[in-house]
Parts: sequence; structure tokens; C-alpha cells
Amino acid sequence: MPDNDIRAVRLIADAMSHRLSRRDIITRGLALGLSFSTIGWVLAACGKGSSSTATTQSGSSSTAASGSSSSSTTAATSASASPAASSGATSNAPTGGTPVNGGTFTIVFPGATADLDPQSAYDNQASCVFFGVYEMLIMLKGNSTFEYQPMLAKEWGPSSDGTEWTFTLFDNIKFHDGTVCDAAAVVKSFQRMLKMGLGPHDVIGRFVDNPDTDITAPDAKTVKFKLKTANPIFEAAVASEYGPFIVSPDAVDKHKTDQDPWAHQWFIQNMVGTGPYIADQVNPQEQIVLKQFKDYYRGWDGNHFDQIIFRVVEDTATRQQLIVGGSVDALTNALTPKAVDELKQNKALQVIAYPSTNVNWSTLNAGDRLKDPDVRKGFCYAFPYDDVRNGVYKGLVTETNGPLTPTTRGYDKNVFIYKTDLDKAKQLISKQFKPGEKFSWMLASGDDGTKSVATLMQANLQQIGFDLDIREVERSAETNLAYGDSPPAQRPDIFGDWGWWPDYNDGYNEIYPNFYSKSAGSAGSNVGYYNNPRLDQILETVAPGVSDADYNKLLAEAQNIMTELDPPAIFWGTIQWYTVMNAKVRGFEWNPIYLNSYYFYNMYKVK
Amino acid sequence: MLAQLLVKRLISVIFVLIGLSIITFTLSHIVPADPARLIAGPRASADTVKLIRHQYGLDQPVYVQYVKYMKGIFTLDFGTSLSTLRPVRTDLGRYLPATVELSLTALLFSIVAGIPLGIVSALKPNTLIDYVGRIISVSGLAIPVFWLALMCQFLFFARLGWLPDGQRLPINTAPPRSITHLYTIDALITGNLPLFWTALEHLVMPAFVLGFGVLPVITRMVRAGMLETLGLDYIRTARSKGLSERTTVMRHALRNALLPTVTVIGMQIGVLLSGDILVEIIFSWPGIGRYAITGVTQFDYNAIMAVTLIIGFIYVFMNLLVDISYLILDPRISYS
Repeated sequence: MPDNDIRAVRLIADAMSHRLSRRDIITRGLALGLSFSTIGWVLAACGKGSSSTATTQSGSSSTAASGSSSSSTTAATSASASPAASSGATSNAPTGGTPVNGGTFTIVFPGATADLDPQSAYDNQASCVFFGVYEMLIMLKGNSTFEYQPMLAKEWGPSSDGTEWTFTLFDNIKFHDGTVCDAAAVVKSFQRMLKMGLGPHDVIGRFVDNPDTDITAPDAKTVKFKLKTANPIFEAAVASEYGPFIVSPDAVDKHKTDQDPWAHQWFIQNMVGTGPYIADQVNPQEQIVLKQFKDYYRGWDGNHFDQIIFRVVEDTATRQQLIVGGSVDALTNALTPKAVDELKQNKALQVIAYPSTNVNWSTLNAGDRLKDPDVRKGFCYAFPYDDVRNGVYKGLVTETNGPLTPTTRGYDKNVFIYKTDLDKAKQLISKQFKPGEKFSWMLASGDDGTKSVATLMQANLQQIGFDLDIREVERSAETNLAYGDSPPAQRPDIFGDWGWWPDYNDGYNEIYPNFYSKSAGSAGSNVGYYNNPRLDQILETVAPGVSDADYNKLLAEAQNIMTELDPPAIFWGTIQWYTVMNAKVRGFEWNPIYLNSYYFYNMYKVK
Repeated sequence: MLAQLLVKRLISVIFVLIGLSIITFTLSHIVPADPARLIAGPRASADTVKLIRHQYGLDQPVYVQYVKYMKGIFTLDFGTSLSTLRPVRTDLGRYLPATVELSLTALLFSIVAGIPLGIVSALKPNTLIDYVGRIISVSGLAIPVFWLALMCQFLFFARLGWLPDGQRLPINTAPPRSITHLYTIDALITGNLPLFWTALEHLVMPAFVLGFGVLPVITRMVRAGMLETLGLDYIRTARSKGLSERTTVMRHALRNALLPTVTVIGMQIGVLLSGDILVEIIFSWPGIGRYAITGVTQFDYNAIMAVTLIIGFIYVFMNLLVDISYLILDPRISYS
């Protein structure tokens, strides 16, 4: 009998003989790699499942039984909202080999990319495609979140007072439709983005008042932005993977209609940019195929792929078979943490886990029963951080309490960090609630990772005399409740798991949508109706732009408010994203902001 | 008589579809979810969500949305899909043929394998071959389709490399000129044999997995029907008159035994069309099952409604075909 099986049998025996607490069973079960439903069975068999737990677990098994598709979709989702660890990347990437020019690079996506208009799409999967077809003025350099490199602009910089930014374009840039990409075209593209007002328009709209007068082209090579106020963050925003891609104005003119003056409907299914690859087949529900754009202004010297393919495979197990079988070359955050762990041993693959700007948290309902900051602190102390990070997520979630990660601008390295302390938790929660009080945690059904987290929390709360009712609802219903106008009293005490990263490197951009008081309800993503006047004041001060010193000082204070003084959520930690890739691929550079993206032009295979 | 039957059934189809549309529309709209928010994503501003809600008419009262939708249906306008952002009619034109091709192939496999298996099992009851037939039948019913699909994919694609992992055609292969929209048939019609083999290779595994679930139903129906028929007097008479066993079985016994099987086969087409969602997902098969699932997760009302109505229509239509086939198979039957 394999060691793990022996340990599993021992676990069951120990559980049956009541030698283990409920928490021990869960922790040891997870460490053994047992499925959550199996752990649930052990708990039920030894009589350690509370009535609410039993309900949850039966829900869990029925979800799994309803088909691998649902659990796998969840796995993909939770994986994308989960991975990992330290300040650096971990990788088993091989080096060397003889470079090969040409060939195909195939990426697998867990779902379709419905909207291919870069100025309305607001998800990183779409941005992954855009990095092949479209270009921005500048982009983040390599693995850095603070340095930039040229894309369409060879030079750029602010005016002495910081209110005007000038970008100088490279020569001979062409769109895929053969038209010239000059400064006027770039201006028109930004104007389209801002006037259309969809998806990521505020990425640039935050800084510019009037697109018609404040974005100009004094000559064919120069683009100028006049900002509302001097704000150094503008540079980061221009390099965001959401929105600032340049689209062909001629294509817009050609396909616009009276009802659709920006040709948005056409751009949803068609792509005309300046990037190194041109759309060859666009069928977003199945696959998107890109081929080399022969007139690309950087040329095709050196080693590059001929073709990039994005393939949609919804089932997690199938994705794993495809990457192991070599049918696809890469995927990002689209497997279970356990599978990623196993694939590290596969010599035909490279598994690159890298730090991101992605933080995961569970929101506390600060607008209703958990109004008292001490109670919310109590929940933060009750959270099983180590078990979640190492047990459930296999090290793909690492310690960073608070809304920002070390790679995000404004992160305070002295941020207050919660550790599991059940005595403190009991003391703080008891200030408002009597033993036996039941709290609620709502999460999306089929999300095994979050369910494991909630059950570990349930075990901890039971240990200090409180109960937790775990309610599973359909993800869309959860999203609807979260972003709808239902008042705090109709919301659960603890809400889901939310993974968030900024649109560009800016701590304000991470905090504002989620914790600013006016972002509550349908106005934003403040799903817990958190309201801290001092935090609001800080955000309002930072928004128009302040000096770097003030920015860091104010955001440090904001992080202290959101952790030590008045936590709006339980911040589990930083997510480490991972890319699993064919071992023969070279030239991949991860970036903590450009999650799920590849800069295809620099990539190739070796023999 | 046939004309009367057709008219009656077509009238009932209209009522069935209206009822179905009301139920589906009501169910999909009472669920507390906001498709506009799902389209816009969690990062979108309230204004953007409002704009999208207006753009897709989601800000209108439900009954207005329903009436508008039903008006469109008469011109085959199913609205715009909220998940693909394309007209639903375009999507159906793309996905329905893939599902039809897969389902028909699966059905063909289950008929070709199931009927002989049922006959042999009935002719040699309680022998080794009958036991094998029963084991296959029980397996077909007991094995979950997603498990079988994953195991087949693991064995025939990942381990042995004999078959492709899924999809209708390899990514860089252009489909044949569209005539029936069924790739295998179109490839044959256009005389492109290599493409026919490629399409067939891609079809084999998903069709086998899907058909394996239907096979036992057909086998058991044929076996039971044959056992019953073979014990009847007219079969004894046929044998005593010196007819060959082959003629007795194939011409006299099987024809009668097939009547209930035909009903089952007709119903299985509906089951296949609506039940291949998992197969389509695992094999990345671009059919309406996969489309429907995306629609459900995105609360894409228009896609859900269209798929439901089409599957409902197919069910009703298959019922009609079954009734007509009765008239042909057994002239004694009358619907008057």
C-alpha cells in the first residue's frame, strides 16, 4: 500500500477513535491530498460534522457528481484566483538548445473570449490575445512593475510641471489593414476609447478631461496628453493591458454605422492593430489563430513563431491531458494546484510560478452585523492562514496581509500581518456576540478551493464557540448580489473569495474600487459596504496625483487602516500565478501586472 | 390520414413551443442574476453596466422583453447572444450542425452495434454471448459519460496517440464547402477523401462515448422484443413451414420486434441532442451543448431560450416521425 494510502487509513482510524479534532482531520486530510468530499465523509463518519457542515458537504459531492465540467470550470476559476508564494519566481525552466525560427505556439484557454475589442474588453484573457495583435505606446519591461520599454513610442516623458506627457513614435508603423499608424491615428484610437466609454475607459479617463482637446498630435510622430493634474501614475496607466491598445481608425471608419459610430460590434469579432501577428481565424468560442504580419515595423530577423493559436478547452482534466500530451504549448492558471504540483516533475514541461499583484480576500460585511472593527479583527485572527496557504493551495498563496502585494506601488513592507490566534479571535468576537452565535459565509458553488477555506474557518470558529453557516450559490447569483444594490442586511457576514489586481501599477487603483465608501453596491466593488472616512480621505487625496513620498506615506496609512485598525476583509495573501509550458519554449517573461500574458514576438522554440 | 396527422401535430407543436418559451423565459428571468454585470465584468463602472443593460434591452419590463423576443422568433431572429455577442441565429447555424453530426453518428453506432447484439442475445439467451451483451448493456447504463470520455481521451489520445483529443477538425484545416454543414458528408460529396478521414477520426471518440450510453437501451429493447416475438405462434408456424431461420428471424420476428425499438430510437435522438453537453465540453466539440452551457453560466437568456426551443422542437418532431414510421412498419396501426 502506498504511503499516502496508509496515512489516509490511519487518519480515518484516528478520526473514528475520536483522537483527532475536526480541524486536525481537515488539515491532515488536505495534506494527504484527499478530496474535500472524502474529508467530508470522514468527518461525517466520525460524527464531527455539524449539521450545517453536513449540508455543505453533501452539496459538495453533488456538485462534483454533476459533472467534471462544473468542478473543472471552478478549478480553473479558483486557480486563476489562487496561486502563490514568495517574493520571487520559482521555475524548472530549462535553458539552452538550438533556436528554431518559425513553428506554432498554442495556448489553451479555459473559456471563450467573447469581446475582442481592446477598448471594451476588460479581462486578462482577451489581453493575452491583444499582446499578439495590438500594441500600446509603452509596456512594462520584463518582470518589472516599475520600469517600461518602448512599444509604439521610442521616447516619452512628462513636461517639467508633470501636466503634459509627450510620446514620440517609431517610424514606418503600419496597421494590419495597410494604413499608416501615425500620431493622428494614435490620437483617434485614444479618443475612441474615451468617448465609447466602455470597459476600461477610466484607465486613461481618470487622467484626461477632454479627449478632443487634451490628446493631440502636433506632428506625425508626436502624441501629447494634457493631464487634469500632474500625476506620475499616468505612465503606468498608459502601459496598462486594459484599454490603451491602438486600433486602426480606418477600420473604425470603414465599419462604423449610425447606431454604432465606433464600430464596436465589428471590433468584437475582428482585430486590426499594429502588432506582430495578424488575425487569421477568429472563432473565439473555439480558437483564434494569428499569423505573422509581414510588414511589422520591427521586422522578422531572429527567431519567432510563425503562428500563434489560442484554443478553448473548458474541461480542466482535458487541459491537463493536452499539455502533458504536447498538443498545446502553454496555459496559465488553468489547472488545479495539485496538478501543477505534479507537473513540476514532468521533464517535458516547465512550470513557472511567479509573484503577481493579485491578492485574494474574503469580504466582511461591515455594513451590517460586523460593523464593529474589533469583531472584524476577530475574524481575521480566526482565519487559518497556514492551512489555507500550504494545505489548500499547495504554497500558491503566500503571506501578504492587506490589499497590496510587494510588487504593487505603495506597498508598505511594515504592514500589519495577522496570524491565526484563536484566543484573540474569541476575545474580540465575544465583545459583540455570545457563544453559539451563527455567522454566514456565501460562496460560489463548485468552487472547491474556497469551500475548503470556508470549512477550515468553520472549524476554527467552532473551536471558539461560534458557528459558521456556509451557503453555496451559483457564481452568477453571487456576483449579482455582490455588485447589485441589495442592502448590507441582505448580504452574508462573509462574502466569497475575491481575487483582485490593479489595472496598472497603482495601489490606489487596487483599493479604490473595492473599499472606497462610494464604491458600494452597484457603484463599484465595495461588496461589504465598508466605510472608513479616513480611508476615503486618503483615496480622494491620492486620486488626482501626489508626490511619490506623499503617495507612499498615504498608502502606508491606508494599509494600516485596512489591516490593524479597521479591516474590511480577511486578506489571505498574495497569489502566485503559474504558467505551464512546453520545455522547449524560450523567451517567455512573466510580469506581475500582465497576468496571463505572453509577449509572443520575443518567443520561440529550441530543438 | 397522414395529412391529417401532420396538421394535428403541427398545430400541437405551436402550442408546445409557446408553452416551452413561457416556462423557459420565466425561469431564466426569475433567477437573481444580472447578465449586464456579467458581460461588463466586476471591474466595470455602474455607468458601463447601465449602458450595456440598455443596449441589450435588459432594462425593459420582462413582459416587454418576452413579447419582443417572440415577435423576433417568427422571423427566426433569436436576438443577440449575451455571451458571444453575435446574433443567436448565426451561432446556431454554426453550432447546431456539429451537434447533429455528432448525435447522428452516435445513434448510427448504437443502432449498428445495438440491434445485432440484441438479436444475438435473444437467439442465444443465457449463453456467453448473451452475458457479454448484458455486461455491455449494464456498463453503458452505469458508466458516467464524463468518466468514459476522459478515460477514452487518456487512452486513445494521450497514451496510444491513435485518435485526436477532440474538435471537429485540426485547427489549421479548412472545413469542406458547406452543403449539409456535416463535415463528413460534405467532404464525401465534394470528393475530398483525406478530409473525410480526418473528420471521421475526430468524430470517432466522441460519437462512441455518446453512443455507448444509448447502446444498452436499444440492445435491451431488441432483445426483449425478439424474445417475446420468437415465442409467438406465427413464428412457430413459419418455422414449421420450413422457412430458413434467417428469413424467420430477420423478416418475420425482427420487423415486429422493432416497433417498440423505433419509438425508443426516436426518443434517443432528443436525448442525444440534449445530453451530449459533457461530451462536447470534454472533447471541445463546438456544438449547441457547449453553447448552452456558456449561455447558462453567463445568463445568456437569448441563447438559453433558443437552444431550449430548438431541442423542444426536435423532440416533438421526432415524436411525429416515430408515429409516421409506425404507419409504415405496421399497416394495421391507424391514428384515425
